[in-house]
Amino acid sequence: MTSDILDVLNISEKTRVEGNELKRKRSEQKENAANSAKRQRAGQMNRELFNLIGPNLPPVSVKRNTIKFKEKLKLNKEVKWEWQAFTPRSGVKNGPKFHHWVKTTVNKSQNTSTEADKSTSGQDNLTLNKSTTEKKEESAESDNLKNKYRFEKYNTKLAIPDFTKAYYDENLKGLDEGWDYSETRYLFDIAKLYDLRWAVIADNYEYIPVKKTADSETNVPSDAVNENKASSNVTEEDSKIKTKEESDTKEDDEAEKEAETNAETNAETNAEKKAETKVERKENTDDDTNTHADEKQNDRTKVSDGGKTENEKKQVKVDTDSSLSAQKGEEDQLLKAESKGKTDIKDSDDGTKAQEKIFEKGKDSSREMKQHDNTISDKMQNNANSDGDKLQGRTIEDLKDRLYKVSAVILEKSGDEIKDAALIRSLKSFNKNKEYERRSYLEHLIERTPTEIAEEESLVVEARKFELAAKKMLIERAQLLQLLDFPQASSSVQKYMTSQGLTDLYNVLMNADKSKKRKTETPVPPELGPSALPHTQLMQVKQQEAQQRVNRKTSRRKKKSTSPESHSGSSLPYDNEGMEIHNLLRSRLTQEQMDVYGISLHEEKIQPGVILRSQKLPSFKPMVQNKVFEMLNEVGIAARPTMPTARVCHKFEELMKSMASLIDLKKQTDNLRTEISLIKSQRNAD
Amino acid sequence: MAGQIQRRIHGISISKPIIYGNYAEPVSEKNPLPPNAPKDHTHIWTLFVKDPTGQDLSTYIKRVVFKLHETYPNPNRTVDHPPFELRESGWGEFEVAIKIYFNSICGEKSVTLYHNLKLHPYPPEVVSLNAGAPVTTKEGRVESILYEEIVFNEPTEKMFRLLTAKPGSLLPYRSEKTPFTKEHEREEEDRIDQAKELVRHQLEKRTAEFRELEVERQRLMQM
Repeated sequence: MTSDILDVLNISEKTRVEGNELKRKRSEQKENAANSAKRQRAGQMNRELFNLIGPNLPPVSVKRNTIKFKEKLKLNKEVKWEWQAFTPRSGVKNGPKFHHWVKTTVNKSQNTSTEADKSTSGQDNLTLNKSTTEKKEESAESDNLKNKYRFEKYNTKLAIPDFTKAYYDENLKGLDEGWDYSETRYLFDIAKLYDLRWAVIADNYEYIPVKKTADSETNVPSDAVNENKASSNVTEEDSKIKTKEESDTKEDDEAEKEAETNAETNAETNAEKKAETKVERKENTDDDTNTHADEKQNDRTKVSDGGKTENEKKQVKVDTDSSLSAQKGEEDQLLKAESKGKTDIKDSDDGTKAQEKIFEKGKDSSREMKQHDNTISDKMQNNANSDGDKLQGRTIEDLKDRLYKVSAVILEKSGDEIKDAALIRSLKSFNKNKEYERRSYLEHLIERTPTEIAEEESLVVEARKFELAAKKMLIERAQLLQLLDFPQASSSVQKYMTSQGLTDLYNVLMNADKSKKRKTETPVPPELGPSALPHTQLMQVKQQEAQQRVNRKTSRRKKKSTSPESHSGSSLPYDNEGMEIHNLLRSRLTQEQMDVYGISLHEEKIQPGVILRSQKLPSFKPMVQNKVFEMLNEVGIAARPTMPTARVCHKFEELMKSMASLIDLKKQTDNLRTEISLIKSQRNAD
Repeated sequence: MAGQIQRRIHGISISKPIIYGNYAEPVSEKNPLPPNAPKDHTHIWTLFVKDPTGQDLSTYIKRVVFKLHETYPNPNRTVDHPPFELRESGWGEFEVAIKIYFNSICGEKSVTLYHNLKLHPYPPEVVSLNAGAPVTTKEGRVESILYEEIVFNEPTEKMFRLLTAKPGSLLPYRSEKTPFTKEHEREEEDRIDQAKELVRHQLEKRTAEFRELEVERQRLMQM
């Protein structure tokens, strides 16, 4: 800067000669300075330069775009993925094995947690189950757990109540004549299989009605129409159910880890039993086939086929039974874990006993069947027919109805009635016919054409309009009703008709009068309308006058004529004078005299000033006013009384008011009538 | 009036009857137009404000101003002394505003009456329905007289004295001079009473009907 100043000083002399050059130089210097500044601060402007811009800021901020690279990925560690084996259902033995890639880090944490779980549960089990065999299984299970499938916990099952044949016979037989045990069984199985997805259940519901003898439950396949197909279907179904059932039992076990080992033992015992039962069953079915040989000569081969499938079915049933008992066992364990081992043994014992019983029964029945051969054959034919009809007729609602009803009964009798009360109630509330109705409505709704939909929407809009109008009308009507219910004046008068009542009233009014007189200066809100009180007071005043008139008859005339002069000349204070006049009037003048002077007394506060009587008649809303005039015209009375005296005006006012209310009432009645006709037409349309 | 606070007597009101209206007679030889009146005037009429009993109104009325149609020269005609009448000629009917001023010592505001000047007799059926309708008395003479009551609510003391100086509010029971008698009042009351009775009957009928309908509506709604 100093050099600049020196420069300036040096050049100052030259400037007189070479002003222009200096200017040029200066501009150059400035430019340089600006350039340097630019270089220094690329993005920013010089302050001086910025000031030159003036009040208008540049529309675009001058800012160089810097190239932005993508953010670098945070590469911390390489993640290890492992190829792991897993079984989707860890409870299933010899189930299908799958492999998938698993993040080792995630897996580790999961593993540790599961292992922790397992160790605790394992300990429980160890303490609870002291047999060595179970311990072994425990270790096997823990292996299984290691690669437990992550999403397995989502594979849950619904808790559909179950029943046994014995239970059915005892409790459920009389519930619905259209259903027998085997079909109910089938329904429950398929419901469980498809997790109560009713659409699917109804779709796959292909129950082959079986011939059922009176007492036995040895079921023989019927000669249904598509026997080959049916039998294959049945076998498929059965196999499905079978695997399902097995897996079910095991999954249930998985859900509650404590019960795992028990389930395993059950499964084992079941397997053993199955082997036994199969042998026995075959004998059984052989018997059956023999017995039915006469009737089904043409279907013999197929019968044997059916017998096999039937056998399999039986096994399924046994499985389910045992699984039921296993479930029971689990529940017990939850409650009292200590006694678990014992109950398991009991359950398995029960299971075997039950099966043995069944076989015995079967044998008995086969024997009986021979005896009642003819009758049975008749029955069976009937059954076949009715069964065939039923098969066609089972709708989704039928299935639901049956399942819910049976479930409700089972739950009711299970003892947990209080706990399941809500559930039972909801189950019982299922109404088949209602559902049919609902479905038909829905079908109808779906089948609507676009024009119908548009029509409906417009109707809805209309209805809303009506609602609004109706609301408004109701309010108006309520107001009118209130208006009509005003208290009747005539009833109150009756009380004062006796002399006793009159004197009472007199005393009351006298007191009221006194207190009112004292408070004449305080503003009293004007009473609305011609109320009864002032009128009666007037009467009372009259009475009073009548009494006093007798006493002062002589002095009255004189005073009356002189009263204006005497008052003008009196030196009394104005306030007293006013009161005096008032009192004077009250005491001295009869009604006739008051009429002569045109004086009337009133208690209510009135607007002071001069008015014209005819101009003080009531007025209404323009519409009503017009109608009132119309009505007056009809009855032959002019809109303005020809002699608007006080009495005439009073009556005229009443007349107009009653006319106005009549008009209002007419309007409301018409409204009501239209509304009623509307409702009626709606009802008719419905 | 100004500055002077007027004391009012509470609880009473005094009414004074007046009649107002007009007489009209067509122009004839007997009844010639005034010399300065326009030639097209057909009627000579008189507007007036009177006491029905023939008493002096000037005890409390100071001045009456008749506001004529604007086509008249000086349409606001002031009459300061009784009788409060205005004689004029014309050819058309119009509404006259009659403004009445009270004695200034009374401290009351003026009131305005409106009167439709009548020159022609009307058919009787119209007459019966219209108050103050013209009545033809003599040949060609038309009268249109209206009855009114001026009500002094809570009059000032001075006004009270003026008004009660003479008993004058009572109408005669029967009179040849004026149609506004007690009898006439009674008749009118009876007419109104009859009408009231009629309306009351209708009202009762309608109320019953209305309640019935309301009940029916409730019933329908509950169905």
